[in-house]
Amino acid sequence: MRVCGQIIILLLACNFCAFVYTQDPSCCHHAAELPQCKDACDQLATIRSESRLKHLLQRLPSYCPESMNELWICINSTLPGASRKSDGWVGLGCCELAISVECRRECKQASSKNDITKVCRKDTEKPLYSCITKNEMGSVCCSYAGRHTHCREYCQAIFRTDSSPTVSQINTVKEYCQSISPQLISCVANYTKSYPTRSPIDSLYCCDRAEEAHCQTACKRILRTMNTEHEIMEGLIAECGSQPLPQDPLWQCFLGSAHPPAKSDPEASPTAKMDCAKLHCCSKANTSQCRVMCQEFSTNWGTQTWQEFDQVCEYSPVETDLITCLADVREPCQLGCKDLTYCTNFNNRPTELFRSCNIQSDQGAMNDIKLWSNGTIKMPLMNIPVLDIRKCRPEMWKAVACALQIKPCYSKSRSSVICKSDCVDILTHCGDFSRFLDGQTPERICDLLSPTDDPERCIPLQRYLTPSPFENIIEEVIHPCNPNPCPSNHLCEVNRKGCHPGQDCKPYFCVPGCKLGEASEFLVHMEARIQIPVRSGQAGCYEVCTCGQSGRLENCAEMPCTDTTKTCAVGGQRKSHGASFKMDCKSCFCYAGETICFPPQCPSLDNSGESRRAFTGLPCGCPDHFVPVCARNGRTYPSACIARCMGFRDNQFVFGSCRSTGPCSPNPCQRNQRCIPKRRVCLTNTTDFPCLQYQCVSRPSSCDQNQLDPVCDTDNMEHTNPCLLYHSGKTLAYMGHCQDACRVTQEVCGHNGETYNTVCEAFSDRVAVDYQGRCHALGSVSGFPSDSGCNGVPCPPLSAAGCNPITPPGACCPVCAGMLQILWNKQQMNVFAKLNQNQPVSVHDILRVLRLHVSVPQCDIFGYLSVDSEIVILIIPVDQQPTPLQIEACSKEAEKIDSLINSGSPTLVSHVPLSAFLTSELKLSTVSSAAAPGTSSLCVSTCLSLCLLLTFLLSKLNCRC
Amino acid sequence: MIVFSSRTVLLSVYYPQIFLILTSGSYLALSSVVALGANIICNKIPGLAPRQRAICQSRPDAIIVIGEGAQLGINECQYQFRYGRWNCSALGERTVFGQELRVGSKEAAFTYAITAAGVAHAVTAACSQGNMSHCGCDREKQGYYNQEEGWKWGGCSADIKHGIEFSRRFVDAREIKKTARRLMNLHNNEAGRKVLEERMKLECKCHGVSGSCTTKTCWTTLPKFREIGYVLKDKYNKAVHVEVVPANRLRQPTFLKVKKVHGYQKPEETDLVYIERSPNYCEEDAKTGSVGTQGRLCNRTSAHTDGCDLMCCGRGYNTHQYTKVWQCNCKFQWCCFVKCNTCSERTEVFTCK
Repeated sequence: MRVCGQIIILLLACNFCAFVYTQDPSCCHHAAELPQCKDACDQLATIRSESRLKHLLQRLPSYCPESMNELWICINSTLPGASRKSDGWVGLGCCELAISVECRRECKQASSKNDITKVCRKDTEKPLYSCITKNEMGSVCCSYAGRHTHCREYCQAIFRTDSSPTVSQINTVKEYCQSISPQLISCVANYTKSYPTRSPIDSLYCCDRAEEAHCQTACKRILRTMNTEHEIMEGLIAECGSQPLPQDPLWQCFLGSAHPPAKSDPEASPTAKMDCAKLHCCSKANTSQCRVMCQEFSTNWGTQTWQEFDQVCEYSPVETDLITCLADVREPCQLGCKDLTYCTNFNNRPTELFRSCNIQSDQGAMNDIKLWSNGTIKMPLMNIPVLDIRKCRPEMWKAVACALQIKPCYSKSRSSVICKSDCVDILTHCGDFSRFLDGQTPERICDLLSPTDDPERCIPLQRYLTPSPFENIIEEVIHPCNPNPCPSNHLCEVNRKGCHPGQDCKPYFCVPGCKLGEASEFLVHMEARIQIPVRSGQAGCYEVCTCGQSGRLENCAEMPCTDTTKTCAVGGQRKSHGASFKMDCKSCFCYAGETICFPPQCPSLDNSGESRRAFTGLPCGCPDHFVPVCARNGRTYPSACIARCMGFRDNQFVFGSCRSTGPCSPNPCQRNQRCIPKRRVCLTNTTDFPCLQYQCVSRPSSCDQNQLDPVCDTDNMEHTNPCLLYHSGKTLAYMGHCQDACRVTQEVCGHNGETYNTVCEAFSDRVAVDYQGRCHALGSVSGFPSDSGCNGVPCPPLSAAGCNPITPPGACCPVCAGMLQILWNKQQMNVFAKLNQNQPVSVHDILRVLRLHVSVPQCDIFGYLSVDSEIVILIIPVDQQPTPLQIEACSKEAEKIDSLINSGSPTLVSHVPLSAFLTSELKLSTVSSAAAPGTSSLCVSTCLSLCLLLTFLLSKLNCRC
Repeated sequence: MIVFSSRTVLLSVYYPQIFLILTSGSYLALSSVVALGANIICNKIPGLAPRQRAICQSRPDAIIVIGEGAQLGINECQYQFRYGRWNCSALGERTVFGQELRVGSKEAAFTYAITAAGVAHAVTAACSQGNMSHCGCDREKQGYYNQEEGWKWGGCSADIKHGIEFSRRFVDAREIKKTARRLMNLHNNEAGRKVLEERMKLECKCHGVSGSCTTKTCWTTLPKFREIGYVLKDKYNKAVHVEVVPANRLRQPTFLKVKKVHGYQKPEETDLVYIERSPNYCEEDAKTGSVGTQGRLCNRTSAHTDGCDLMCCGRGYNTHQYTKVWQCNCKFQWCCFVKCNTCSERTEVFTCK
């Protein structure tokens, strides 16, 4: 048994790439004379976030002069990745595993294993030696690959991982190297055979259970660096400060995974050491060099290639997509900024997006200004000599420093670049031309740093030279989740449900989530289905996983790969995969060689008098009759002609609107079950995945009283959750608290052409109201003006005066809202349905996920499938009389989501079914500036008509009519 | 040198298989290849008796549930005694069952009873939820039809017998020394479990649409643990002072009798029993397991044990003033968000000197 024990140690010792940021604070004493430098150096040791560390490291040279040799040597030797010897020996990567300091130093300077044998003792430095052995083995095995770089890379990946190589890694090597070198295969097989076991790294997820943050970090470090049970045990007890107790969640997790019948298949979590969110971005790289580096740090966190990545890719104009995508993962754009003490002009901006509105960045901007006052601005690409910025336009410089740190996200591009004209302007005035290098001019410098002047792609400084115009009306738009009030492994969700009576009610919930891989800081909701790139990073190949109760991605299933190299032939031109373009009236998208267009048909625009008279703007030139039919997908179409045009055969639709047909009569359920209508509009193929409009529920024996999801029954009684409602045998009227306004039936027509009994029912179906009364007309579709039946419709007055309204497709009345019209891929939806036990994907599924991305509680999301099969999303102020600020906030939310869809950002498209989105088109209601201040007073004039609509919605109207 | 290292590699290639063969049949050794095996964790858990350690090592899933059960008991104890001078807090290092009280007092009696009941409660609940292996719903209460009362067993009845047996096997295993205290502890453990067993509930569901409830399906469910807490608190107030009777050949304590009663009267099965008087818990004293009441919050106006006079044992109290700021008047607004105001209040807090 003793022998066996040692073997285990050897086995466990193989995880060598486990670097942790343990920058030795003792380095910083070299910087004692320079307080600025010392501070920055000390900070290095305390920072936990990867992006901040990276940021600070980049700036360290400006705080600490390069002449401080001792400091730099010290930092380089303790901070892995800070210096990479290109001609390093095979064991260089293992040096961090050395236990004694002398041995570690010797290891780093060695050129072969023989150099270290004197200092590093075999018996005490076991992990180091076994790591070196592994590396040697890797270099021997992989050398058989010769010039075949792919084969060699995949081979090296096997020896490079922190723990046991996965089956997919081994298979990839087999696939790529089989024909090249059988020796390599057998060499690798020899090595992989020794890995039926698991390594401590596989238990990393347990660390997140620890209650205290310092214990969490210590646990991760210990599991990455220590190899024997005893070391791990002693380390955990010492660092977390407590003996193991079975009631402690951390130890429960370890005990649970120690349970003999190892239920969890080691392949169940292929995402362990990866950062899938970043990996998702790698496909956006335009150069292979940046793509490879991106994949490296996304799949194998800890190898630190980002230094190189920054120099080559971060400022490369061709890689803006990649850089923006990575920034979205690290620091998503969030609405609102407040509580800054230095960059005060950024405060009170509830409708602008920022990436990094926090105290550290505020502090950073102040430090930058101090440094720049020395007369030189050190940028990664060059040094810019400047005059005394304390005298030359100090306000402008402050705005520059703050903008670079707080990072406003500018609408379309979401990048944080200062506009070129501002750059040129300030350098022309304050640049120290006497110290400019030959050929340096403000224009040339700005060409590199701020290449654009497009107002949609750069930050105009003018905006931040004065304080925000909103000082005291901040209450109108709030951001409960910004700054994030939740603990580290929890997601913040806006509370839109209310609370149990008598309970402490907060405007947000903290819900546990899953990280997209152990190395990721990006969280997704529990039970959410997530699309992530496959581990090999092969372009176009994804798998769908579920975020399980354990806080890890589970039950992954691979999707069929899409061939991203296929191009589409459009009108004699070649469009590459992922390109979106306009064709006639249609907006199209090239997806793996297939051109997907909406609407499927253009109305014919020939000029013959006959057809012009018949031109209605509707698909297939259908007449604008309103004789609704209910199609198999659960959507009501305005006429049989349109349903046929959308590809439904005559036996696939019935006359009458969908809500008027009772899905439960005749009762399709078994005798002991109850049939409950569950209306939905499906986006998937209705033949393969039937779009059932009901659900059969057994009478629940007991319900969870604590689960809050209020529902209102047809007798206007409120129940805490649907289960309790069904338990008491009632019929559901609508989701949400019972509203007095919805006590009696007052029919409304929704944007989807469906008639609802009350406005509450429409909202519960997540459909916004078009007009009062039954639906009787179809508005214009696809943006073509038509004088359809809408003429007779009594439109409600606009919710805010001075708003420039939009009319959703198919609707009659304009609204003040932000609207997205989304083009989506039906094939992909079908794949998602197939992977999810043939459950169809519905519009509700989409709205539920998208709603989580709306961060302002004063805005809510509504949506429907348009008659020509676009997904229409409306982000509308929930207040019945929204202020201009609220309308703007909703527009910004819409703009944010639009930009995330169009750039395919993993923040959004990693969520199934949103991954099937192709492009989005944005329409916004802007509030004219004349009406902006004091709109509430304008309400008096329009009050009478407003009240007609609103009194039934809102009991307390604050304007007197 | 290279020769040596390649041999190491060969060893590491082939030995695991041998290792598996050697230990086949024993899962325990195999589990040691994960970060931490059950053996090493169980060895480090403080306060486990050897037999308990063995259970921990063979059933790491059960020890999690036991830990939760013990915590359930400790939390309930702290709730029941939140206003008392003794507030169920412990001195020194934490163990699975909280800190053991050295004095065989009423308080010790309560902690033993509540943790034994907590473990039985947690194990039973885990079994019926399917969270533990080797157990499930009560098999005896399935399918049997009670002709007279017109109901039959159905659903999932909580298997309280198994829970109690498990608690007995694990919790009672910590009583090793044959002393008077052992008898007291065992009695109180049993009393706690008995109280739980007696409070099991029968739940029934009517069948048929007529509403006459002619046929019913019934099952047993666990009571809320708070209920057990109140019952045991009541028992604590009426705890019985006992003494041991050394009866066997070795004059070792063998059974308990009620003190100050002539003749042999045994305490009732569900009575809590104690053998020593309680200290007053006013001052910190490691010997008696008292943390003292210094620094405890007290209520200036209360005449009960939470009042400053009683709580502080006459030492007087300090007054602290501070301003509390919180989000208040949170209202749900249709449709659909929660809006709050910020409130602040100056409050006074009293702590014992």
